[in-house]
Amino acid sequence: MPILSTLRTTASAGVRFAQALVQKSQQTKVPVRYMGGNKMVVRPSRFQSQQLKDDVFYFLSLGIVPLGLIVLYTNVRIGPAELVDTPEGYVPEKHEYYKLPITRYISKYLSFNSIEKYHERSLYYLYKADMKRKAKLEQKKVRQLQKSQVDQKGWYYVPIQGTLEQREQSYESFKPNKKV
Amino acid sequence: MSSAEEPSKRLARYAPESFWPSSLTKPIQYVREKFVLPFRQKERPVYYHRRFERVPTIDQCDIDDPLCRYEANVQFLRDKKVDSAILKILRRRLTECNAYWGADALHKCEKETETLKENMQNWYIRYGEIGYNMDVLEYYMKQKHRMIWLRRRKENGETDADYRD
Repeated sequence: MPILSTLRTTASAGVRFAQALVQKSQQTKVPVRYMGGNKMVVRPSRFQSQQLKDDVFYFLSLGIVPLGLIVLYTNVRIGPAELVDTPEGYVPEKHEYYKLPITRYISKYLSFNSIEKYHERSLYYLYKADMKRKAKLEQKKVRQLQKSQVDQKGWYYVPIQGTLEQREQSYESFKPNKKV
Repeated sequence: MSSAEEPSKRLARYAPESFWPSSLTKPIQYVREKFVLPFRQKERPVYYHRRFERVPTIDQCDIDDPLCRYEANVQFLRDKKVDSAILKILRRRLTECNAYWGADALHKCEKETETLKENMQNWYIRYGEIGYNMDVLEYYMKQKHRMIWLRRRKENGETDADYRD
C-alpha cells in the first residue's frame, strides 16, 4: 500500500515516507517544514512523572542521608559490643545488656523504664485486679449470709438517732419553700 | 564418593569459608579491613547475657495467686524457647555430620541422629500439640492427662507404662 501511494510522488509525500521508514519514537506523524535549526518536538508532557521522581527522591533522602551518616559513623567508630561473661557479684546496668551502640545510647539516656520495671508494672495490674475481685467475692458472701441467716443488723444499717423533735427540725431543710 | 574420599578433600567440600560465594565476601571483607577496622575505638563496648532467677513453677502456686501464675507462665515460655534452641543446635550438628560424611553418613552419624530423635521426642511430650500462645496451665494439664493415661495402661496390664520425668 505505501508503495502504490508513492507513485503519486510530491515532495511532502516523499518526506512523510522517509519519516515512516526512520520511525523515530518521539516524533508524531506530522508534516514538518525543514525551516532552520532546532525544532520543537511535539510530544506528551513528562513534567508530572519527572517531578514525582524528584520529590520522592528528595523526601526519602531527607531522612535517609542524615540517619545513614549517623549510623555509618557509629558503626565505623564504635561498632557492636562483644559478649562477655558477667563478673562475679556485678550487676550490669540496663544499657549494658544490648549489643548495638545506638540501642545502648537510647536505653542509657533516653529511656527511663527497664524490662524489670515493665514486669513489675504488669504484676501490679494483676495484683490490683485480684484485690478488687477478692473484695467483691467477700461482699457477695456477706450479703448471701445476711439473707440466709437473718440474725443481725446489716452492715449498711444506720440506727435512728435523737428524739422526734430533733429529727423533725432537720427535716425542715428538705421541705420546699413555702410562699407567704 | 564415599569412604574413598580423602579427609582433606572431604573437609574442603564440606567446610567452605562462608555460606556466601567469595565474589560477594571478598570485596566486603576488603572494605571492612581497610576502611572500618582501622578507625574503630580501642576500648570496645561490652554486653552481658541477661539472667533470670528461677521462680516457683505452676505446680507450686496457689490457686488464687495470679502473680505466681504469671511469673510461672513467663518462666515456662522462656524454658520452651531455650529447649527449641537446644534442638536447633542438635539439628545443626546432624546436618553438618551428614554434609561432611556424604554417603557414609548413615553409619557415621548414628550418635547425632539418636540424640536428636530422643530430644525431639521429649520436646514433643512436653511442649507439643498445645496450640499457639497458650498459658502454662495447658501444658500442666497435658502432663496430668499423660500421667492418668499411663496409670490406666498400667492397670490394664502393660507393665512398662511408667511415668518418667
